[in-house]
Amino acid sequence: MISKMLTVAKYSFKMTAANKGFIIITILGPFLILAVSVLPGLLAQSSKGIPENTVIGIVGADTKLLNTLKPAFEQSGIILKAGTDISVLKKRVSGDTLHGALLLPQNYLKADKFTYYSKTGTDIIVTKTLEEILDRVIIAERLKKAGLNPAEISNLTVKPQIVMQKTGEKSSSEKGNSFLSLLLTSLFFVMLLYMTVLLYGQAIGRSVVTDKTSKIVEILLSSARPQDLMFGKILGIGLAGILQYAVWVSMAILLIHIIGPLFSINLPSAISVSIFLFLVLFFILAFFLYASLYAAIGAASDDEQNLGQLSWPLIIFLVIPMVLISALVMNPDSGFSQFLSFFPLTAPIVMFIRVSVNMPPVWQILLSIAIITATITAAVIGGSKIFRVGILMTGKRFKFHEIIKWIRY
Amino acid sequence: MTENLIELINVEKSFSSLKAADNITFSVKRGSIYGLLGPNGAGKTTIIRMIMNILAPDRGRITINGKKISEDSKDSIGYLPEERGLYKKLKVNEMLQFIGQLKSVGTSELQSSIDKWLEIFELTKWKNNRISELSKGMTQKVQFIGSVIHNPELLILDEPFSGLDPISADMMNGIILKLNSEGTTILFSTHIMDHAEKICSNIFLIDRGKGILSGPLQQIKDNLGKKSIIIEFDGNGGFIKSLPMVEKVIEYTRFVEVELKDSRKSDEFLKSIIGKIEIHKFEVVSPSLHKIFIDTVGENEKPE
Repeated sequence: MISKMLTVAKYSFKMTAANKGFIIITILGPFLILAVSVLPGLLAQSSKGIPENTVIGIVGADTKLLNTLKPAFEQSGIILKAGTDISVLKKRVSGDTLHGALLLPQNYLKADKFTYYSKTGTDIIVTKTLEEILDRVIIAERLKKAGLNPAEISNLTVKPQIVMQKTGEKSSSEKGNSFLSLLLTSLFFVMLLYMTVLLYGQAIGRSVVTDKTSKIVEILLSSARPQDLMFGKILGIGLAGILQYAVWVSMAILLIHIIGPLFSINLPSAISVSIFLFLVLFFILAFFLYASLYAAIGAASDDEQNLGQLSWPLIIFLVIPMVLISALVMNPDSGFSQFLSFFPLTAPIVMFIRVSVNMPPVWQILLSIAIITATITAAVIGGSKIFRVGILMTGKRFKFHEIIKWIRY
Repeated sequence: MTENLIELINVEKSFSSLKAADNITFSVKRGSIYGLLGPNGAGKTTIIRMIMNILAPDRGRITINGKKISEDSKDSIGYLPEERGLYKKLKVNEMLQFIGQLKSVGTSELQSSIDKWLEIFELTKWKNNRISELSKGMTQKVQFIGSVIHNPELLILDEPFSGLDPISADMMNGIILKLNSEGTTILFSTHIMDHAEKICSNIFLIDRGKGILSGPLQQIKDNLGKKSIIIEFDGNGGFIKSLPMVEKVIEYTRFVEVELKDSRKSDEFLKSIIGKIEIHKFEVVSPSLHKIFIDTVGENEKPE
């Protein structure tokens, strides 16, 4: 009865998408998301660098040291101004005419502690820069005094850097996926899914409950099979969700193209095509999994409040991968990760993480997909049976053996 | 084609301790108007839901056209549930389109059918209003249209008259009779006997899950003993109850229905009331369904 299922899908889509709230959210959504996600990033980014014309007073440096320090600081955008009396400089810091004041002790080459005065005490970025430069310059001075020539010193003091490289990757010149970018991609996926399930999963659950409370369900059931109703509903509301996402994604791309350059945001280098396809695949699987479970829970609920109470375990299973995400990214092939990638409720998210970190054997991916698909089917069929029993039981608690009997009927 | 469109054989259904249907057996002939009668809570809706395959019977067999109800047979059945419900956000036309499409009616055919029925119920100008803007009676009519929009061969109506004013109820009566004359078999339930009496050819009377009476209405009336007397009058008729030859009096708004201990003594009865009240009408009739209902179900449970 595909045609009846499609009819239900069509009208569910219509009722979800053709209302003011949906249209407003669809249009305003990107701006809201921009406000919560990008703005803090922009703010943090602007404070990451050292503000222009940062002037720092310095006391206790001789001319020779000053000549070395000044160009080093200027490279980082800090102008050094030599002073003689630290208490005068401190006052100027309080009066905002100086960003901060650095006090070198006498015999600074032997000292292990320098004092930096700032107004806030939380000027971490400037302090880090100071530390880095002084570290380099003072150690070089110490070595020079010990008789090494400057060229040797710079060779000797080069710090080794670690470059992360995935084993599956072809060329070493390519930018390797760092732990952080993997973590962020996975987190992005989990957050996307979490939001979607909260938005549309609950919408589907509510829609099923409303059919029950508005009593229309008896008319629907006298015309179509309950599983057609359930699946039609999930499909219709799901399509409305996909439409909304499509609008959002295109607006986001537009925004990034127009606004991005203005703020000189560097987009994270796009993830590879195959990973993107896996993201889409597992996203759809995860969406239908949670949608069908929400529909089943909706069928068993008396009202929306009841739906909220019954559905919190679902949220827990969404949160589990989020909490464990760094462990999963670090050990994608551990027994525990493998288990979670086959456990129906966590499978889509965890399997995606595993795929994006370190491609597991094909049979494992297929098994995971099979388990998810089987769970969706079971949830739709079981849910539709509960739907049929549940509707006539509004207000009454039904017994477990009755549900079993209905599932078999 | 079987002669009986619907058949129930020894059907039973319990809800925990309550027996909503106890060994129910009846059949609805093709082309008839069948009334499922009984007081509130008698089990009428349970039986209808079992016929519609919404509830499963604990025991017994239900067939439509000789077969268990299936997806395909649902398309040839129209159903008006007792608990009315429509999507309040949808417009009248959209709602009816949705119901019609669920019944697999083609789009163009469906629209002309919707227009025809809206016309009949004088709802044409409400076509593009949302359901939430309609009055209760209008919603009821839209709901009824939803059950006939696909020209069903069988129409099942659970309490079709509830919520309708007398004019709309008469209109509904007329439409049911018209549909029946065009060949639609109709099964409907009601607890208001007057409605049933006007249109039923057969009835099944049920109380507390048990079938009490069934068969052609006229036959039941003939068999069920004594004729009664309908009197319309002005004045205080309170004394009639205490006359020696009177068995029972049922008072209606405009008249009373009197049953005598010996139905042959109607002359004697007439003599004893002449002069005491002003009589407009005196008629010896078969007992009304209402009276049969009260006689069989018992006077303790007064129907509405």
